[in-house]
Amino acid sequence: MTSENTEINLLHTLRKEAGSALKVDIWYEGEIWVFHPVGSIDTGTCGDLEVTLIEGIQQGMRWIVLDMTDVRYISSAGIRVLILGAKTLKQKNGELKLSTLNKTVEEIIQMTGLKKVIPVYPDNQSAIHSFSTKE
Amino acid sequence: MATHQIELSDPKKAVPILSEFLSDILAEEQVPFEIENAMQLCAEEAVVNIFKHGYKGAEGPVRVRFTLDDNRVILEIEDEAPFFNPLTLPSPDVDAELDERKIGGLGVYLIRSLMDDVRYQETPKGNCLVMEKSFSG
Repeated sequence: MTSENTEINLLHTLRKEAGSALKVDIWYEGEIWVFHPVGSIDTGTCGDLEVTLIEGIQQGMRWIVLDMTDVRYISSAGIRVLILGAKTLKQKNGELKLSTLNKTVEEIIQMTGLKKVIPVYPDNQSAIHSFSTKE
Repeated sequence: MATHQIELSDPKKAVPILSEFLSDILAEEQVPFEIENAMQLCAEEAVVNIFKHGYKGAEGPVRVRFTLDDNRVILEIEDEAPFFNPLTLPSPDVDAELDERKIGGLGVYLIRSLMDDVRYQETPKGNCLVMEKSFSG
């Protein structure tokens, strides 16, 4: 786990990076990081999520929950970022999990077979808890 | 029958302009949310592919025509890029494990999965993709 000052700097950097089109709130519980994007994840905004996720992983985050509560729309550009994030984390012995999908986003996640490779949970707490039960 | 049309040319602005164009029409015509979502997604996928692959990232004309006929929506997307039928692309393996999973290639697959009917035709100047979806009133 990083020190408190490093965490504050990291959060500041990530929020700044994500500040243009897609707002991404980030918080943590123990060693689990929760990313909460707000808006559509499409061709125009997927880059913001990608930068935020990859920056977080580069700074040492390994267990990430993507809270999709406020994502009402995702296109293949967004799916691409989820696969990229999941692959990058797996290479570093971490894992990406999704929580709280709305009906239309879940349909796209199901259709593209993502449920098979990225675990999906009904809420953040069950996603966070699943990391500790696995270890 | 209601028909609306828009012409796009700038790859950087095409998706937000198209999204707003469709949102306004679909709200005005009171099309159900799940149909709006599918139309938005398929329009984005098709237009992004045209600018990315057809025009190689450069500017070029893309005409989008939206028609609402009873409980059926039709989206026709025309370009002047070199002839290419996107429906000939192989389907991605959506059952692959994470390590074998390709990062891209899902756009056309989503269009085929979400629409009831998708047709491609060559035009004198380029390509036309026609997508249709019906809904219950």
